[in-house]
Parts: sequence; C-alpha cells; structure tokens
Amino acid sequence: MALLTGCSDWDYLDPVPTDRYSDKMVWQSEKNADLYLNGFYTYVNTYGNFGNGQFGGLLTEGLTDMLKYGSNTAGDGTPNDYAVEPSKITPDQNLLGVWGDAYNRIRRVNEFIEGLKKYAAFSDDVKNRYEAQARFFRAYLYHQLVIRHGTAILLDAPTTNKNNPLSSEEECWNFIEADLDFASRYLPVQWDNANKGRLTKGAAFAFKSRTMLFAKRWEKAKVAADSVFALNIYELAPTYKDAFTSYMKTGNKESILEFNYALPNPSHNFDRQYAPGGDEAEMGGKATPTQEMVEEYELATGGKPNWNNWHDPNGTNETPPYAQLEPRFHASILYNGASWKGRTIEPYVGGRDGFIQYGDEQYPKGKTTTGYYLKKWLDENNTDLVNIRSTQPWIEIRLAEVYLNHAEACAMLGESNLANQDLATIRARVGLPHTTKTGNDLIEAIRHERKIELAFEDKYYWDLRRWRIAHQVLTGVRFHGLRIEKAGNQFIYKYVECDDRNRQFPEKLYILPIPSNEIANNLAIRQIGEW
Amino acid sequence: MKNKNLSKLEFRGLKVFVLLGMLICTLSMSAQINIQGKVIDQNNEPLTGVTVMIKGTSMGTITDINGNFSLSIPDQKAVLVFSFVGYQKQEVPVGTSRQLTITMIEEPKLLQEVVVVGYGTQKKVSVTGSISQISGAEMLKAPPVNLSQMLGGRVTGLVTRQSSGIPGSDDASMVIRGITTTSGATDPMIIVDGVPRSFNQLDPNEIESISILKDAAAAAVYGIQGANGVILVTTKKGVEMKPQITYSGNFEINQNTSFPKFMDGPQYAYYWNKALEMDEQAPVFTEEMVNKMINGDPDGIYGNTNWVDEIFQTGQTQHHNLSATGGTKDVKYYMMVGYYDQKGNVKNFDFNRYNVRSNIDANIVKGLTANFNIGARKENRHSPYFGAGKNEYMSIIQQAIRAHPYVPLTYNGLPTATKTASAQVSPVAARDLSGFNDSEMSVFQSNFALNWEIPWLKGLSARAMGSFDRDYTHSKIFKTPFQVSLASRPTPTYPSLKYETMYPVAIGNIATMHEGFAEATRITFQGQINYAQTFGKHDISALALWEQSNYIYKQFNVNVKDFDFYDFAELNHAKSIADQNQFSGSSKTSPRAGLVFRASYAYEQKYLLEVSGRYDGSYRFSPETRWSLFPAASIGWRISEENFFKEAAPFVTNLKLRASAGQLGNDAASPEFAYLRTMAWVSEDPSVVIGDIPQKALMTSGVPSNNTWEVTTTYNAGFDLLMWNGLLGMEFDWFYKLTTDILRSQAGIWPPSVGGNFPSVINAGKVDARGFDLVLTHENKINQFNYGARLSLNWARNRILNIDDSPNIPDYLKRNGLQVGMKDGFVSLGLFKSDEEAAMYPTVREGAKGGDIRYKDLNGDGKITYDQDRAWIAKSNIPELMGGLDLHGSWNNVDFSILFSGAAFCDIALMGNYEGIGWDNTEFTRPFYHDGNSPLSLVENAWTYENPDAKFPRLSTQTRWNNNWASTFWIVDGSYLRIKNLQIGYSLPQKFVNTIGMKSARVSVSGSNLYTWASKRLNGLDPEAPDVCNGYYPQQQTYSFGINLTF
Repeated sequence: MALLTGCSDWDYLDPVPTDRYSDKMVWQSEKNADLYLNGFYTYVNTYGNFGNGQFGGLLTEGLTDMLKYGSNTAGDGTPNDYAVEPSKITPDQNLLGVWGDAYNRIRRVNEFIEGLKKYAAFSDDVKNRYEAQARFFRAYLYHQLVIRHGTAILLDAPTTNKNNPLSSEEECWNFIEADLDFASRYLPVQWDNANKGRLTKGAAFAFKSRTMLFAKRWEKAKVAADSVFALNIYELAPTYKDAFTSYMKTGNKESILEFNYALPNPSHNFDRQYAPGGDEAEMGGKATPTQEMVEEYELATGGKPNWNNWHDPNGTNETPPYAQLEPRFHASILYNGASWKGRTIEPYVGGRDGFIQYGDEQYPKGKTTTGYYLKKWLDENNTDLVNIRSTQPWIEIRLAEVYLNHAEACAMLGESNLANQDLATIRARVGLPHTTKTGNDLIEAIRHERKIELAFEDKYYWDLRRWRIAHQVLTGVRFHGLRIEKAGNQFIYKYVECDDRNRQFPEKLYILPIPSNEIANNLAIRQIGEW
Repeated sequence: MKNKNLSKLEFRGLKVFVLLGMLICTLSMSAQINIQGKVIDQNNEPLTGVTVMIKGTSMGTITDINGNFSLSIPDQKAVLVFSFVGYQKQEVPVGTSRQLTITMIEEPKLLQEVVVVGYGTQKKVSVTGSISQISGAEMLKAPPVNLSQMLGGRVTGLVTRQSSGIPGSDDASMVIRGITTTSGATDPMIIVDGVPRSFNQLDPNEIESISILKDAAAAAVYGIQGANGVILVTTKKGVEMKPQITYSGNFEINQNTSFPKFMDGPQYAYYWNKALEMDEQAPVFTEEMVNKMINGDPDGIYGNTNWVDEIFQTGQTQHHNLSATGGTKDVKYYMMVGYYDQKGNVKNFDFNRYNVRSNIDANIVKGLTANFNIGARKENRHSPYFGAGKNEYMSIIQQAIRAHPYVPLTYNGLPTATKTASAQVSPVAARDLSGFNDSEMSVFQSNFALNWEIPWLKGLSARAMGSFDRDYTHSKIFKTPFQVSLASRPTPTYPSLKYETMYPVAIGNIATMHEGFAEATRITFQGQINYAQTFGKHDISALALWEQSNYIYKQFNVNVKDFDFYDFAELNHAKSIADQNQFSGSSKTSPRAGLVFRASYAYEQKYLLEVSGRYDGSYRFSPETRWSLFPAASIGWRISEENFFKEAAPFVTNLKLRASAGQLGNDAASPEFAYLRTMAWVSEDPSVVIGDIPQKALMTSGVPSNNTWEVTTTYNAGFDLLMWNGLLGMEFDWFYKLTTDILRSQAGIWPPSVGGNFPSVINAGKVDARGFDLVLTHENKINQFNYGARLSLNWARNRILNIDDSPNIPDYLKRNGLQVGMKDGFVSLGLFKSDEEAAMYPTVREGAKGGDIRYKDLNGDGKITYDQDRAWIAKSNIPELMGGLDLHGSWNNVDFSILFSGAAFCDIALMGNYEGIGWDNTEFTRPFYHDGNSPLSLVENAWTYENPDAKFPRLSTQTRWNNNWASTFWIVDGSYLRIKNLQIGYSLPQKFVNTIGMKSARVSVSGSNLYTWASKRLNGLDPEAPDVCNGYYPQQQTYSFGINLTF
C-alpha cells in the first residue's frame, strides 16, 4: 500500500502525456524550434485568399465593384449584405473583424519570443534570426488590426492583465515599423534549400513598403521599396500569368513571400468554390467579376474600349471586345467563349456553366450572376475538383506590388519621375504603353494600375479604405453583369444589375468596431469610432 | 422448517454470545422457574434461531431446529423478548404459563430491505445516508429497452432526459439531485459490481438492483468523483436452491412518440406561392402542376412525396434471455445469455447486442470464499453513412424534413433529390444507398474476489478484489456514391420543374472509407478489511479499503478512398489513402487511487452513527494538489423503537430520522495535464511547406494552472416512515448542496486582446442547490387483490452564488442569483401586427415588417442590440421537478402496473444558439428554413396580411433577418406528463404449468411512452426533444409482448 509511504513521490498517478510536448523541449534544438516557428508561417495562408482569417474565407473584393458574390444569404452572401446593409456590421457580428484571432496569434508570437530568450541556448545569430521571423509575424498581425480599426492594443509580451489601453494609430505604426526594421536587419537575403520558403530580408522590406503606405509615411515606404530593389534578386516574371507561380517550385523571381501547398496537406479548396459551374455540377462560381471590373481593363494596345453598346438592358448581339483586351484580363477573368480546361466557357442562360439572376436562388451553385468567372488563382490543370484539393501557391507579396507601392510613395512625395518609371515597368510586361503623368492624373493612373495589376489579390478593398474614397465609390450605386442568352448561333448580351439594392458605405466603416466581448472585459478601453 | 435470512456466521456468533450470557446468569441466579416454548410463524411452521431474551437482562436462548426453546426465568414477572430477522419483535409476559407458543409476525418487506451501499450492503433500517434503490424485477415492468430510460420516474432523486431515439444510442442523460456546478461536468459516477463501468447496455434481466447514492454520507466513499452522486448497479448472484432455468422473450414494435407534420406537395405549392406573394414576387407553381401532384403526372415529373412518412416506418425489436441460477452450500451460480435485436423505425438504423454473464460464488476452504464474475457483451450498431444525430450535417432526418414534397420518389430511374440552401437532399437514397456507419463493440468485464474470515478475531474479515475490463470498438464508415435526379423548383426563369442527373455534393463521386480501432482497458484493485461485531446493545462495524485503478485507452484510425466496387468495405480494396486525416492514433492512461474508510455504530439499533470518507487522488491534478480527504458523517434515530413513541403511536411500524453532512469532489471538468505547459500539433498536418517539404507545426496548447477538484458540501435531513404495517410508507429528504472551487471555463470573461493568455479552466465560482426527494407508498391486500401505489417526486433548484461575469455588461446579463444552464435571448413582445407598426419600433435589423417579432429594448436606447438587450430568458432543459406515479396490482393470475412520469420547471428553446455557430432559426421556427420544407402548422398559422393575429411570424421565402434571434418567442415550457409504461401480465395456472414441467409461465403485454401531455407550443415535437435542433431521431413509443418461462 503505497499510500502509507506517502503519496507525493509515488509515480502511479503521474502518467507521461503521450500526445503533447513540453515547451522546454522545443528549445532543445533548432529542429524543434523550427517546428514551433512553422506555426506562425501558417498565418500567411490564414490571411491570404485561400485561408479563412481575412474575411471568413471570403474575398474582400466582394465588398467592392470588382467582384460579386452570387449568394444572397448569410455566409457566402455576407459581402452582399455588408455592401447594401452595412448596419449588419456590429461590434458582435463583424466577419471582417480579426480581433480575437489576431491577438491570440500575437500572444503566441510573444510567447515564442519569451521562450526563445528564456530557454534557447543558440548562438546570438541564430537567436536573432528566430526573433526576426517572429517579429515579422507580429508586425503582420498588427497590420491586420490597424488597417481595420486604426488602433490596437500593443503588447510585446504575453500579458495576464485584463485591462490594457488602446494605442494611437501613430504608436501602432511605430511598433510595426520597429518590428519590421528588426526583421529586415536579421533576416537572411536568401535561405539554403532546406529552408526555402522562410522569411527573407526582401519580404520584410517589401511588407514595410506596404505598411508604410497605410501609415502615410511616404518616405519610409519609398525607402523600404528601394531596399527591396537594392537586393537585386527579384525581377518581374516574364508574363503576368507567371507572376502567380511559386519561387520555390518554378523559380519565379517576382515572388517575395509565398505560401506553398501540397497534397494532402496543406491544401485548399479555392477551385471547388470559385471554378466555373461547368467544372463540377452544383458547385463553384461563388463569386464572379463584375462588368465594372471588366470595363476597367484597357485594350491590349492601350486605352479603354467604348462599352456603351453593352449597357443596354434589352441586349445586343454584338460580341464584347474581350479578345482585344490586355493580357491581364485574359489571365484574370473567364468570359463567354474563353477557353478553359479544353472547353469553352458557357456563362449564359442554360449554358454548361450557366447564368442566374442575382437573388433568384439563395446560392448560385456554379452559375454566374455577372456573365463572368474568376480565372486568377484557379488551377486550370485540376480537372477533378470533387476529389483533388487545390495546391496552387498563394503569393502574399510580389515585386509588382513593391513597384506600385514605390510609385505611390514617390507620387505622394512629388517625385513623379520615379512613379512614372514604376508604372512604365509594370505596364511594359503586359505590352501596354505608358505616357508620363503628373499630379492627380498620376495618382489616378497609379490607382488604376493597382486595381488591374493587383486585382483579386486582397488589395483593392483596403486601398479604397486607405485612399478614403470607399464612401464615394461604394455608396448609392449598383453594379452590373451581362446576362447572356443563346439564340440560335448567336448570343444576346443584356446589361443587368447584379445588385438588388443600392450599395452603401458609411464613413463610420473606416473604423471598424471593437468586439463587445473586449469592451465587456477590458475596463481600460471604450468603443471607438461611431460605434 | 425455516432458517431465514440468518447466515451461518451470524447464527453461530449469536448463539455463542447468548450461551455465554446464559452461563453468567446461571452462575448468579438461585431461584429459577423453567419454562418451555415453541416459536412458529404465521403458517404454523417452526422458526429456528429466534432469539429469546429475558427483558432487562442479558439472559436468553435461541430456538432449536424445531422452533423449541427452554429457559429458566427468575420469577413470574419476567417478560420474554422474541426477536428474529425479518419478523417483528415481540414481548411476552410469562405470568403463570410454563408452556408458551409464540407466533411471530413477519415484518413488512420494507423493513427487511437490504440496500447496496458503496463497497458493501446495509439493512435499510440502519442506513443513515440518503439512498434510493430499485430492484431488477421492478425495472422489468417496462419493456426492457434501455436501462437509463427505464429509471426515469421510478427512482427518486434522479432526473433523466432522453433526447434521442437512435437505436443503440438512445441513453437518457441522468442528473442526481439537480445540477450544482457551472463546469458542465454533471454526470453521476456509475459503478457496476464495484467498478466504474457503463450500465446502459447490460441486459435488464441480469440486474439485481440499482442504488442511487444521493447525499454525501452515502457517496463519500467515492471521494473525488462522487459529487454528482453515484449509481451502483449490482448483477444477480446465485442462491442456494435447485437449478432454475428461466427464459424470457420480448417482441416489440415501435414508432415515434410524435413528430410534426410537414407540408405535402400541393400544400407546399400553395404556401410557397403565398410566401412569394408576401415577398412581392410572382407565384411559380401553377394549378396544372398542383393537379399533377394530386392526380398523378404521366410524365413522372411532378409527384407528391411525404418524405417524413417515407423515412419513418415501424421499428421492430426482439429480446431473448436465458438464465440458469441455483447453488449448493458451496457453489452458487447465476448464468445468463441475452440477445437483443432492434431494427429502428428508420430503416438501416439497427442495433443488436449479445450479453453473457457468469457470476459464481464458491466456498474454497472454511472461512475463504471466492467470487468470480464475468460479464461480456457485443454491441453492433449500424446506420447509413448519413446519421440521425441532433444537428448532424445532412442527417437522414434533416434531409427528410428539408426535402421538397412536389417530386415523385424517383425520376428517370434515379432517386429524386431537391435543393436546399446548401447541399442537395435525397432522404431515401441517403438512407438506402449512402453506405454505412458501423461499429462493433466487444466488452469483457471480470471481477475476481477472495473473502476471508480472519479466524483470530470474530467479525474481522478481509477481501481482495481485482478486476480486469477490456473493450474493443471497431468502426467502419463507408461512403458510397450514388446518383440522383436533382429537381430544380420552378422559378420565373425556368417556369417548370426540371431535373438533372448528378452526385449529391455531400456524397461526391468517389467512395471513401474510415476504419478505426479503439481499445480501452481498466484494471482495478481493491483490498479491504471489514470488522462487524455486536457487543450487547452495541453494533460496531468498520471498513478500510485501498483502491487503485488505471484506465488505458488506445486508438488508431485510417481513411482511404476510391474503390472499384462497393461490395467489400476493406482497406485492401481501396486504391489510395484519403486526402485529409489520412491516419491518426493516440493513447493515454488515467490512473487513480484512494483510501476509503467507514465506521458505524448503533446502539440498540436505535441510535445510529456513521462516519465515512475517502482520501483520494486523481491524475488530473499536479502532485502538489492531487490528494484530499472527503469526509462525511451521518446520524439516525429510529424513534419508533422508543417505548414512549410506541405507546403514543402504535400504528407507526417504523420511523427513522436521519441527518448527514459531508464533502465530495468532482475532477471531471479539469483538462488533463492542465498543470503542465505543453505544446500540441497544429491541427492541419502537415501545416506548411518549407524547403519544398510539407512540415508539421507546433503550437503552445494552453496556459497551465494548478487546478484542484470542485468541492460539494452536502447537508441532508430526512425520515423514513412506515405506518400500519405498510399501508402507508413515506420517505422524505431535504437537502442543501454547496459547490465551491468550481472548475470554471475562463472563456468569455477575458478580453480577446489578452490573446488567450489565461488557463482555460480555473477553480472559481460557487453554486448551491436545495430540494427534496419524496416517496409515498401504499401496499394493501383485499382478498385475492394485491395492490399498491408509489409516488415519487424530486425537486432541486440551483442558484449561482458566484460566477465571473464580464464586468462591463448590463445587470440583466449578469448571472449571480440565477440558475445554471439558463438560456439567453431577447424578450419578445409578440409579432408586429402590421408593416406600419413594425416601422414604429426599434428592430434588430432594418426592414422589419408585419409579422416579424418585436423585441423589448431593455436598456431603452432606442436600438435592439445583441450586447445590450439580451437577458437570461429561460430555464435549462433539465427539469427541476421530476416524478413518477406507479400503480400496480395483482388478482389471482393477472397483474398490472402503470407508470406515469412527468417533469416540470424546464424550458425548451426551439431556436437559439447552435454550438459555436451563433443564433439561427431552425426548420421548426422559420418557414422554408434553409430552403427546405416546413411543418404545416408553421405556415398555416404564419402571419400574412389576411391573418394579422397569427401565431407564428411572417410567411416569407426569405430570411427574415429580424427574426433569426433567440427570444422568448421560441421558448416553450418543457413540462410534461406521460404514461411512461403500462404492463398487463397473466401467469398461467400453476397446476397446468406444473403438468408441462414448468415452474411458472407468464405472458405480458406492455407499452412505453403511450401518451404524453405537453405544451401545445411544441407543435408536435416530443417534450424531451433537444434544444435548438434541425431534425433528430425522435423518442419512441413501444408496444411489447413478453413471455417468461421458468423451469
């Protein structure tokens, strides 16, 4: 009877957990620490187009004139709800919010840094390299918070204090900047083959250029972008289409930060959700590009075509000038007659892919509500969407964005020469001419170029907010699609609204609310903005 | 000749003691009168072993084998006291007689009752704790379906709630004396033959008794796991008698207790059109279509299919049990085989079970006995690939209530499917063609015990018991693709119904299979020393016991895909490993240990005192916080044994007053290894691709905390009363429980900005509960008519005394002073009578119209907001009051019993929070929810412009955003009363039975859940339906024919 001899040193009741590690163990070797660090890399997926951290798995372009979700019900239809009835965004229900998850991740990063300092017996170089990676992710997470709320609770260590105050936007950007500066100082320019895919100096600089545009610190944005160029290892992919391939797999030198997938894991199901309905019955087509977006593209020779003929609700049998549009259109959008997976896209009423008027059914189930389908980010080689998950990479940062960040920073600094050069560079790849612009024209040109170049890359919605023009371009309007009907051998293109109500973007949306469970439990803060 | 209820040991001890006393008397007495006598029972049979004492002395004797005794008394004034177990004590003045004949009157059965207590048995009259017990025979008055269901309403102190009727998965949840914790860990501890085991799948025939240990005095010996009460199940043992073989068989049919009626084709067409009209849209169903639904469609396009009727048919069950029992002086045995086979009332939901038991008691050498119990069983569960659980994705029931009715069963040779807002539903095909979900569980349980009467000290004995249990669960889930003809409801774009051939999205076009294997082992050791002795008027007993046990669980799973043929579901025939969750496996151990003690003292069997407890340790806590003492004490006073009382109230057969206090623990809500800082794998595995190689990722799995158990302190006071020899019996207990150090989840009370940097669970919070248990019994016999009644009632109400609420929330959202398990939501002020009225008041969302729900603006800010205008609006669905009334009787060869059971003070939410998803409607609360079919009464009584005083909200094809919020509108009182069981039996005449070589034969018919009275607002759902459900497998009404033959 072991009890009689005392229980505390009796090990019968001390089973060793077999399903978990202790936290000290992870600091015993770099190999283990890498596994710990790997968890943070998943955030690049989480907040990317194939993850569900950004907007509950929906593309933020669905809130703009670029992309239309086909469902009118909660879930897949949330972007439509938010676009026409922003009162559905409340402190309690805000699919755009990342508050809780982001802070949870920030705590984990802080825990990592704390453990690194406490337990790791690595050399200073190695330690700095770990800290640099961790701090990049912390900046990445705070960036997500600040672009939503214009404020955040800044924490550089795990806290057990419930009542933490908000910091000003300035302080937040300072914090992010400091993390990214530390990251860029200690991250390697390139990694050995075994570590390919980890963060690099270039990624830290590039991300800083993005972040500093939000902070309106133009000079810093410009310098950060210049630092990327100065590394001299990145270059634009030969064609626009190639820009979305993996550096790791194809050597795409435009890719600065990417997240790769593999079967079975990690993988995603973007194709199954967004592919044209003809690829898999009753599936796909969750969101489709609008007519407004299509009309934003220039002709391959430059300049926009005249779309007036296709603005007729009664329709025209004239074929729209799709074929003449520039390469980025053909790389990004599928249209009637486009070739796809060895067939022709049929986005018309009764076609293989099909058309459905927005609102007729709760879910479009593969049919388009605009007459188009998304092409960018789809994997044309995947022909069995039911059974094969998607593995095309997510390119979080690519050189073209850095050029455009640079262009915008320079334009704001009044250095229009440099800005024009950047635009010319971007346009040259797709064979578009560029004429030098200044002043407001230049700004407009940069904005147009960002919209086209970075379409469907989770930039446009945030750009509209950053430029503070969302309340103008997303209020009191409805967007459109083409309802295509097949009549004999020809098609009738009818201009239809893909919205059933006017859109609204009240200015209060520039500052998204803080969730009420934060307010309820943190006595140091109050609700912000007009919430 | 009888030798009732007196074990050899007791008999011998008593004799020696009495003889010793006599010897002393003989030595001290001089003048003696010799008297002789005979003691008989009411049937004139002599009674052996009756104690005859001279009152006020310790002199006496015992009757011999012929019931005779002789005794010397000092003088004629002497009074003789006759006592014998099972008989009423008698006092006889000697007077002048020298030859006496005494007739002993049997004690009422209730006084003879022996109850099973923790680690032993006690005579009920001397029990001081609060225990309810039911015998196996009593349980068999119900169709032998599921033991936990059978307990409801029959045992006091217990609240059962059966929320599903799935064959093999229809256990009722059980709560003893109400919930006294906010930790969610409310399950009682269940002990079968001394070891923690589940009891639901035992064969009801193998059960001797079930005891419910309710207060701390009764349960303290279970220490750290006893706070929610303990259920002790004892299986049958052999007794010394000729072999007896019993066959019992039951044949049952069953159907749903109730289920809402859904729209048929023409009704759907009418109300869909009507709803479109309400939405200012054109109708889509034409009269021609409706005619085709009613009269048949030559093209087979339109039909009229009642999917709910197609899915629910009549279930069938058969149950056979064969047992043999008997024994000699040295070996006693009980052996049994049982077979149970249930075909559910939804085809392909099947359950069968084989039970085997062999309980053997043997005397090995003098003073040493052995018990060897083996129980084994096999449980097979079969269901389609799609299940029937509450809120289970695409459950067959959900598909049935969502499927549109205007289509035929098949079209173009394929089963028809209709669309919902998400996946396509095809209930019959999902039931018949989707593959299967099978599990086979094999259970082996064994106890081996040695009992030794230690020869050197009378009354001292030792017992060692080892038990080894192992169960294996093998599961296989096979998903086989099938094609359907998918109907598209007419729309303005496509004005007629059209079909396309496809694989439903939820099933895909490739077969997949999951195979898993799990093994659980429990090894228990108990060593105990018992002492029981009587010293004159003093009864003393003591128990010390050491127990340690370990539960070891191992499992692994594999997922594969792509089969050329579906005939064999074997890994060998799969072409590749699945894409996701390809394989997994893990193991864990859960050791425990404890030292149990109990000591009791009784003076003249009148004043009773017991102390007990357990020094207990759990692996769930760190070495520093692992061990604690859980003590209890109880007292009893059999006031009816006092002379003054006997004189004052001679009609009282027994009255015992009891009181107890003690502490118990609960460790179940503490996460395992919460005291360690650990890392876990990120769930997506691998998680990242680095260096072109998929790699795993680790993350910290939680902040450690040095938790301890919850402590529940219980006070109990009660009495057992028996009057007029059983004409009226009453047991009453009042209790108060206080739980402190509740293992409280910290979720929701920390700001998210802290990022989860807090332990998931800590010891915090206080809840108390009070209530009573009451049993009233009446037993009587008028000529050949024996009858009785038993009413049991238990009520418990808890109160949250301390809970960490968020500091910055409205007062009406704070929970101190409220009850555990309450539901939150808005307060409904009814429906808007008109669009104009809707425009006048604040609503949750813009666009509310007539027939939408009006909510109360609790904080008066002119807005209805989730965080400011919710309140705690309804009770938990676990009833506070539960009771049963059992009426039974027998007349000659006919016997009957009926059990009414009921519950009150509970609420059911028809809509509200789906776990983790948030508030939403259900099929039962919104017309055309999820684009499915609807209960007819919901649309019939929906608000329309013609029906502004409607019972239910506005008819619409669309989500009414204002209405998909939990509110009092959808809270229904869950009280009910039902005829839970009814049984009529007929025993064949003894003469006839004997001539065909049987000892007895009985046939019976019985039924369960025959009729239910419940709130009309349930709209056809059973009152035990789960909260917020999207279709579930309903509770069953059973009709059964039984036969019982003894040879």
